[in-house]
Amino acid sequence: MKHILINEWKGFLRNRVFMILLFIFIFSLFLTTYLGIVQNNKQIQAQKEAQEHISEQWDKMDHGNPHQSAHFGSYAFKPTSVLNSIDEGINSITGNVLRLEGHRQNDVMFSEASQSLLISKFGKMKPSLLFQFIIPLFLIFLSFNSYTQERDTGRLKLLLIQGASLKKIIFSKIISIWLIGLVLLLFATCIQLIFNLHQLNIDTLFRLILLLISYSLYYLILINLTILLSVIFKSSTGALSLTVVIWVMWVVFLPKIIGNTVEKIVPLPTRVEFQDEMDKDRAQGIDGHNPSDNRRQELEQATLIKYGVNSLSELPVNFRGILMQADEEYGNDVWDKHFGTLYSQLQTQKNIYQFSGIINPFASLQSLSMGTAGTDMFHHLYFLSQAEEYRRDLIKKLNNKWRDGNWDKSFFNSIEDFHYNVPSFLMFIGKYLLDIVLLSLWSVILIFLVKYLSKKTVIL
Amino acid sequence: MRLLNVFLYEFNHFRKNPAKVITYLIFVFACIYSIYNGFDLQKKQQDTIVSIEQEAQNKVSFIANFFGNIQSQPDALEVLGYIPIYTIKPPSPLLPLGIGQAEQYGFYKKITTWSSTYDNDMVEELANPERLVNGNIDFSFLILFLLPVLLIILTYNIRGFEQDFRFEKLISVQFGSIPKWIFVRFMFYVLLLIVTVLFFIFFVALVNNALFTHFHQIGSLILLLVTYIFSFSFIFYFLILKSHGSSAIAFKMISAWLVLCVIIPGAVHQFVSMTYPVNYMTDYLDANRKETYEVFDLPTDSIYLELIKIYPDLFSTKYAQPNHINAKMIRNTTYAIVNEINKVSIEKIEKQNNSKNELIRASYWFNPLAYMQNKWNSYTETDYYAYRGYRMDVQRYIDQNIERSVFQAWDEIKLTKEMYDDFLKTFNLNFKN
Amino acid sequence: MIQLNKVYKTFNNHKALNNLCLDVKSGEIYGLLGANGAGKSTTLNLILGFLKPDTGSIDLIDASNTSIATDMIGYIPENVNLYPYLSGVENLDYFCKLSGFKYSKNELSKFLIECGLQDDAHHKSVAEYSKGMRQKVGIAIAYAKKAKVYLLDEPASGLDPLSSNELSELLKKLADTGSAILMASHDLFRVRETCNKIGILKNGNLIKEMDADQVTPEELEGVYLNFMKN
Repeated sequence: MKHILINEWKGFLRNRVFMILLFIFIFSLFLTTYLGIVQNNKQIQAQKEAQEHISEQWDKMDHGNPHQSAHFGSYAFKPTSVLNSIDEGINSITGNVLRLEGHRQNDVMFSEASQSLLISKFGKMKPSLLFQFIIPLFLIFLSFNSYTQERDTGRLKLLLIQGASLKKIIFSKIISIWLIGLVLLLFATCIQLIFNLHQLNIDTLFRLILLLISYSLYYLILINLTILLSVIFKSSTGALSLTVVIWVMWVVFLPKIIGNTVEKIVPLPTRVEFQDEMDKDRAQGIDGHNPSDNRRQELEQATLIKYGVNSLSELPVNFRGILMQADEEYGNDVWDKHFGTLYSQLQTQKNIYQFSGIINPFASLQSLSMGTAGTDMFHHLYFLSQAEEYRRDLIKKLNNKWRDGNWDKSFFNSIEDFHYNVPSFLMFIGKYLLDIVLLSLWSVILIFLVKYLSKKTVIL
Repeated sequence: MRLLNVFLYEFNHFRKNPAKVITYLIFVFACIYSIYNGFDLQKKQQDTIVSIEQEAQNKVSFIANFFGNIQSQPDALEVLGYIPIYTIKPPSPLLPLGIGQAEQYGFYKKITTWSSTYDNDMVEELANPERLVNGNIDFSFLILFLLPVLLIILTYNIRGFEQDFRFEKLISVQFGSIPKWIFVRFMFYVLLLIVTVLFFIFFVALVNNALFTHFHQIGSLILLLVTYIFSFSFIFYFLILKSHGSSAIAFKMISAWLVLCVIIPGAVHQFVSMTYPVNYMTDYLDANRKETYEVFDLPTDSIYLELIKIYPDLFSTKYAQPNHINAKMIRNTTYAIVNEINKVSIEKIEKQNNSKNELIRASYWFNPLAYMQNKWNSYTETDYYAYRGYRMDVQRYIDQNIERSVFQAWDEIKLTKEMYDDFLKTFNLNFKN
Repeated sequence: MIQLNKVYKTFNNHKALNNLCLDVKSGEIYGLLGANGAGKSTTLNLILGFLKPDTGSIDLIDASNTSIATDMIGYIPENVNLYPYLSGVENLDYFCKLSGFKYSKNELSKFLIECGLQDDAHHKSVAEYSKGMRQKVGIAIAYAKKAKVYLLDEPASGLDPLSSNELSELLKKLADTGSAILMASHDLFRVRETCNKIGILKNGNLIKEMDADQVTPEELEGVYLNFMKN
């Protein structure tokens, strides 16, 4: 096996076209990874500056009273993860700015995709584009005639007569081509590590390792499949056509078709329906600005009893602060109910979609790639939840202060800015187990199929 | 005659190759599916629009009844404020042919005196973001990205097969010119694809009754399609002429597709993104919040003067008169000042977006895919500018609504039937029923 | 050395070999003649182990009457397609390593010279080789493997007369070392010139066996055509 492997690599290294392509890939990987990091850092900087700008405004402003400040609110700017430079996932189409204010929860706005004409359909020239679309195609072309060339030239018989088994020959070829994929993956990872050294931590390293493993498995699947088809089909061009068709199905058709189907299985409400339902529930609550509300009366009574006084004017605290917080909490319940349902619908959609990995390993790869890069829906929802948590905390602090009185500038300045805690990947790993299992299963099954077929194939 | 025979005989080559027939059928199926998706999105949008209009219609009917019953004239501001005003971007009848950027934007907006074109309700419909990233099987996507792949699968072994099995010389002896022979065979597939796609374009146009109403757009789409297919055909034809063997031809064709459809657009996208990083729109946020609050803090006199500056005619209204000045009412109309502030900041955003688009357009000469898709989307009214136009409509409605409100408030205008009818006409609230 | 006893082989109800009995002794070059589809390649594939006979047996037995393993077989196909990016020596080295032999560069060169490949060609890329030169490397591969049995499938097809003659001489040299050589061919003249024994296959049946020195080339052609026509 060692001799066949070495010979395969000799073949690659002495092939001028291969070397040119390899050089182009290495160069493009260097460029895309490096530029990805530069762009990412720019983005991180822009996000930081926006957050600082808002924070500065908060510190400098004349707050009046805490309720005014609650209306004034704050903003959460979606941060960019370090590995966004490899795979930006959903980041270009999701909004980036979330207004956090009293009485209402807003939508995240200003997606990059809505800020210009369309440029690309397959995404920016990031390493993920090379890893997911271009390198696999290169590996398919390397694989498809790797076996058929031996067979069609009759060299295979010679190899077998010399003592090499078909199994060894085929697996040596698979491994030698797979190693090329691995070299390219490792190269991009090294560039990532070198230029991002200052931002690296154990979590990022762990994510990078899983990203590497996911792509390695996917390449193994693709190479195995291509060689398997070339062993099965008598015509090498027929095998190539079929492999390319399968690849196009995997990367283009199935993700879109299944994504659409899933949205039909678990339909989401339209924005109007969603807002109407929320408004309906909200209207039943205590509206701090609507004194005729029954719940307000109840709260008033409860507060009077609690403080042992007969009228609001006798209260040692500001009743409006209590009222606002009660309304806020009611609003939070409404938000939890509706957004809770929406988020769980989105997660159900994702879970169903993940099962498409049974027929499309690319779906599992994509999910793992975005997941490890921290740019998938789970991370996005986590950001939204954290921002909402911050909003609640901020408004509660302001309402309580309004209730208790005695605020001054130091109180407003003591309020911390929104700080996004990047979730540890271990927190999320359970969500990607299915992807990992399916990718592994695909690899194992294909290896066994190749092994089985190499025993069964009659060489003539 | 010989050319015609070769052309017609290509049908035998095609039908006897199951891989090619199946691939072609998959493409046809994908076209059907994409058009179904387009119709589905169109219907969803139309249903949403109907439900919004229904709500407005109920309110309009209520007010209409109210006119019959009242004895005295009510305050225009109060009554008209009750009727929801929406700006809607109805889907183009050609939407099934290209969803484009339609899923990136909202298509309806409730107009209030505090509205702006970057409000929260201007964002896209609720959708799974991962689904949005993968996109839809959109007809324009099929044409622009997958049709070339289909062309590769159908044509990669023209000549390559004969070279693989070493009887190209026989063809040369029998037919004469190899380039001519390739060209005729190639044309069979080009025409097959053009006819297939044209069928779907006309189908959508007929179903949506757009053949005559959108004649220019359909004609332009067809012209674009033919140019596109011929451009790719030219590249592929050239590659067949210059390569040896079907696998080498296939490899080069796929590489050309990758370069044109994935690598160049991806590289331009990355470059644009580096030149114009995601805009966090702090200018707009400042206008929307800090500057708005600063306006709130202004003394009434300053607000009064600011409003007069915006609407000089206000000066002749009832509450503009020195003996009638109503501070509460004046302060209640500060939204007109906020609208002006918003407009200034939005102008900046639009300008920046425009320079970003300029950069994208500057890449068109070497990034034809971006040109094709944006041109295609402009004909199906689903590109950035279609939605920019919609935002301008929204702004026009906001301006008109604010002006109406301010004048009605300052002049304490009583509602008349004519005024009411004019309101309905201005804000497109005359529902057929 | 090569013994086929009552071998039957069918493919989809088509009888490829019908009760074939064949015996190629040590030091013998056996020429198997026959039209396309007569069963020559099937016979070679059965001996090579790529096919299994439906009935009958195939034995490879050496002089001391003990079975030899199939890895003692050398095979030279019609077209010896070697790795074009390797030189003649590198190709030989690679194929030898596959069969478990590790030779020095000098030894490898010696094998190539013994098989008729000129010294100056050893380190040239095989892409520059003629068919005859590749054929010689192919024989060197079998020779270096210390094969006891050589199976050749149309070895002279496409070779010029000089290369063809060189091949004959080489095979005779190998036979003199005690190897058994079975050569399937259409080329009556080359078979007559090279082989000791000739067999004619028709529709899977061995219809005639003769000693090569008992017939002139013209007689062999007459016999062959006679059998083919009837």
